[in-house]
Amino acid sequence: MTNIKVLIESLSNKQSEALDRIQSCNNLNDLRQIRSKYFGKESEISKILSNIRDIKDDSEKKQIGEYSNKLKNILEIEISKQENILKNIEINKDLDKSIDISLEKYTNNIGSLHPITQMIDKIVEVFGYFGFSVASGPEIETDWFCFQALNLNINHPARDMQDTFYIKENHILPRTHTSSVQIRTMLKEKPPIRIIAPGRVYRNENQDQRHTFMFYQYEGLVIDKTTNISDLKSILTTALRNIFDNSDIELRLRHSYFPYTEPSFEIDATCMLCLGKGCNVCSNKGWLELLGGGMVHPQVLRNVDIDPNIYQGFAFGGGPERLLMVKNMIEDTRLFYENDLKFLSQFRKI
Amino acid sequence: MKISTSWIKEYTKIPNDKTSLYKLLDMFSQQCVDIDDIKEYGSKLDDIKIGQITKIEKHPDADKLKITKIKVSDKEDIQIVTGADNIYIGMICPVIENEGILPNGDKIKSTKLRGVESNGMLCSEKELLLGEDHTGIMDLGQDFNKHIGDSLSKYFYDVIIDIDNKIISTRPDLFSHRGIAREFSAINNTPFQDIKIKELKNLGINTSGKKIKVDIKDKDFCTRYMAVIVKNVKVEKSPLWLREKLSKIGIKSINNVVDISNLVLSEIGQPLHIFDLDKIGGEDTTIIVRKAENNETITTLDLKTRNLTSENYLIANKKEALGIAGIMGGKYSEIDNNTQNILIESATFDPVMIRKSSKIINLRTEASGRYEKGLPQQFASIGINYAIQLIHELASGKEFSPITDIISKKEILKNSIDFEFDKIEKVLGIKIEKNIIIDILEKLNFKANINGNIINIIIPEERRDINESVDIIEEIGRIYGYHNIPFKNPILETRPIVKNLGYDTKKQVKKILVAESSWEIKTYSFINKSLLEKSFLSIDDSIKIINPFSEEYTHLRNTLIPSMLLTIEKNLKNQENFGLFEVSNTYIKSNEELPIENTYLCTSYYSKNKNIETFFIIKKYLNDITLYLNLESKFEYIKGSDKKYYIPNQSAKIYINKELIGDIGNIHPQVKNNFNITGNITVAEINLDLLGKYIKKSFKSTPISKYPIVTEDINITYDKEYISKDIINNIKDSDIRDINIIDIYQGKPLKDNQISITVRITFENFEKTFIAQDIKEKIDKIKQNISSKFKNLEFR
Repeated sequence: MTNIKVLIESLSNKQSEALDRIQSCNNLNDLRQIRSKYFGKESEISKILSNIRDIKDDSEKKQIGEYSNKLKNILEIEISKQENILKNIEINKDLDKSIDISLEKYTNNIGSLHPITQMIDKIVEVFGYFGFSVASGPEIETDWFCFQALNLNINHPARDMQDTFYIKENHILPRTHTSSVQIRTMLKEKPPIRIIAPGRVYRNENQDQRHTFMFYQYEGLVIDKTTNISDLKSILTTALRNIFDNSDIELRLRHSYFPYTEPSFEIDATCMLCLGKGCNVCSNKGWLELLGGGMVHPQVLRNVDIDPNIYQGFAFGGGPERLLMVKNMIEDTRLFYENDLKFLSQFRKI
Repeated sequence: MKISTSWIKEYTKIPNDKTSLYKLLDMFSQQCVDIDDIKEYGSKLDDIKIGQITKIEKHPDADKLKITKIKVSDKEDIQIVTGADNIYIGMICPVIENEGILPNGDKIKSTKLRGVESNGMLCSEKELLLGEDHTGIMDLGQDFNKHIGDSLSKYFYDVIIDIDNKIISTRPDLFSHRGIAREFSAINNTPFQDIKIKELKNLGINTSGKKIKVDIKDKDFCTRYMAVIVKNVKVEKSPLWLREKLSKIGIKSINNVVDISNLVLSEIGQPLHIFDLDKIGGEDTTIIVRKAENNETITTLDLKTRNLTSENYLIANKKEALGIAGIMGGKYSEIDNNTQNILIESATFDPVMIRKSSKIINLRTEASGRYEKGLPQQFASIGINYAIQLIHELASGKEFSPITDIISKKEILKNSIDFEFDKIEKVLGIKIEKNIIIDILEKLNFKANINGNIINIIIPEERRDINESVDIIEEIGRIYGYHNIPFKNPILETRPIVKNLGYDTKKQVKKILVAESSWEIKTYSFINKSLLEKSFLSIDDSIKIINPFSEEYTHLRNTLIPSMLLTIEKNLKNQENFGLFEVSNTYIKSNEELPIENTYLCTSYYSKNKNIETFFIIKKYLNDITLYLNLESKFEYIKGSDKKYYIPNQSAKIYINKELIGDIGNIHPQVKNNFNITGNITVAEINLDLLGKYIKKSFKSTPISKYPIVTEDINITYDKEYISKDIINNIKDSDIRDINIIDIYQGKPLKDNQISITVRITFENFEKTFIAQDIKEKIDKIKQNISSKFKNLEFR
């Protein structure tokens, strides 16, 4: 027969033993073990209490129940007190730790987009504000798309302006300009047309600081019923101001000649380095020639079955390399195609 | 082309002071044609005075020296010792005194020559940079009598501009001082005073003798031929003003007759050719304009013997070729000091045929350059009449034959244009007053009439570039000044942006690779045989460029791999390991008109350290691309690519939805050797045009379970005869959300033919939280299932 006194005494012994252990515990793991030791299914206290079923007397049962609950409460409180103390110690330990913030450990570099890609993305984004879509066409073109449709007949003296590589004599060629995309787009789409067409072009020229036989161009085209030179001026001025992040840039249109535009101009922008005062970069002119363009020649429109009496618009073209050379003071255009990581790694963001 | 601004002044007023002149030149380059270069001629002549020789004595101690007294002011004449032979008393010539500085920077000091004091120097043209002549002292002529003591710069200074010929290739009228002067008059808004050329009868000369006979065999080539015989001309040194005029624009003075033809060319833009009449058979000869025979030869004025083809055209007589028509005359018939009788030719030739003729013998001249632009027939008659007047004035020409003038093909000229006046504003974006428009057009030699809303324009004969309304609008726009067109907010029709799948795909792929620490490169699209062979590729599959500019770039590439390897080779001395990628087109031979172009991604990883398995780095990149692009399915890899630059057993073909889209592999050791690469490289090439098709256009999100997911790692050791994909494909359970290989191990304590992988399986259920027992049962079942299918599997 189980004696209630014996039970209470053994519980009371457990209490003082447990309190000792809890108070002397100095880490949270041990504390967790102590908790399960005294409270879990297999714990010593549970074992003692399992003897309760042997007690017949209800008041004694109640008494022992109350005692054990009191004991549990005391231990719970003591454990959570100790838990708090230990947690605080750990927090303080963390707070006391200092690191050498000048050290570096994870130096895995990010790569970079080629500067030309970044400039093209920028151009596409900026002209996107005006509703220009990206257009593209093949790099290897027929003479018709690259020249004839653009009002450059076989015997046109201006063909001297563009030294052409040929795949098939006078017929198939790596395009000399992205203007061929104008033709492809106008044959496919109906006005209003607003496109920007970046891509590779090829010219049979000697390589030097300012020339490579392959380079990039971006071509713009607007065709609708009203777009005029004033619009060209304002769209291109805004675009270049955005590209160079400089709202002081003004444009200057210089009369020029292209067979596919009339009127035609070279488009100069205020030198952003000297703001027009004259410096080395702009050869003391205060202006930088950045684009060529003009109003699309009516013959070009007729060539793609668009009625020039109803529709008009402008076209322009330029080189992303040129923009980069000005923006980032690059002196040799060949560097873009040499792919030396010492060069490329300077252009994580243009 | 060089233009003398003081010559322009003969036609229209332009500023004398430098600042205003340079400002006008700036406007000229914006409104007419770009100026490549501005040079000041005779700019360092401040110390050079105009002097007159008053006395010449022999030097007592030197036969070749003379002692002269020179008058340069009212003060005492100065004494100069000279060795020149062409001096005479009364000669007016340039003098530099003691302490004066020559244009080349040399300072003149008083000195003693063989004991006789000399206090300056008499100068030759060459010493003053005013010409080529250095044989004697420059003779200024008696016209300078009134200017003794003045500085020479006052009379010889000029600003010479060099204009960009390319832009005016459709404006033959601008290849002359007269044409450029008209532009200045319009731009500067000053009156234009045209040259007055007197015809023979106005010179008070009656023609004598007979016309020269001309036979034009090819009427498409020679559309107009004018010629005149002049007898008893006096060939001599040109007068100073003519020599100077030519010298300023870079033309060497030869003699008065040749100089006259060059003057006409530079002033009017009409090339002339002058023959020695007696050398070509006299006045009874017949001039024949004909095609050259194949292999016919002629020695041209530059003393070169030219081998001709039937694409060349000749001026000939019955016996022989006299010159290459429109390009260069023959040496044999040139004017020399004994020439007495001459034949002046002024003709119009077809621009395209001249171009071909000049190209085929690789000879471009001032004449052919102008003919190529398409000269108006009108110029031929202006040219010959001007030449006649000049021969009369400067070469004592008095006996002129009647002029032969044959127009074998009438030029088709557009005489006038009508269009709606509103169109000007519609194109330029600014309203310009009618009277301003009319004024601009008249300054440019057009005649304009506005009738209601119609503007009618009469086109001058020399403006062969004007065909339609926009050509006129351009003339108005440029002279009005584009800087006067305001910046307005454009009115644009709204329209949705049309997506460009190719551009978008490229952009996304590049973005993810940059995030993977890769560098984007851009290499040339042209390659060569040796580069291909180094990569175990054949040149036969590449498209040849007919006219490559260098041996290095002869073919269009059909793969990005060789350029990638070359770029790795270039960079590996500076980097231990790096990833590179390029997105670019390849060009493949096709039966269609154009080659097939595909946009490829080439992505590589190089590691100097051989323990780094670059293959799996590239595979990770590719898998990340499938995730980032949200492709319809993952890539499938089938072992063994057929590309020769890979190691067969370390390469794979890449498929998506059963479509082959690329290859991946470790580069063949011999190819690596060819590129001097040691270390590991893996390169993959993916066709982005094909890949683009598999980007999900739209997708529905799936619900997520509110119960936690559970992950369990199992370690499987298997014989290498199996491949991991087959084992993983047999890991099946309805609650599996994901399976990933998170570790690979080979080596001790495993046997040589064993490999061990750690597979992480993620379970998810939408109805309950898993308990440990659930997972244990699933894993046991999975293990049992794969053990039954593969021999000798071990789990750890």
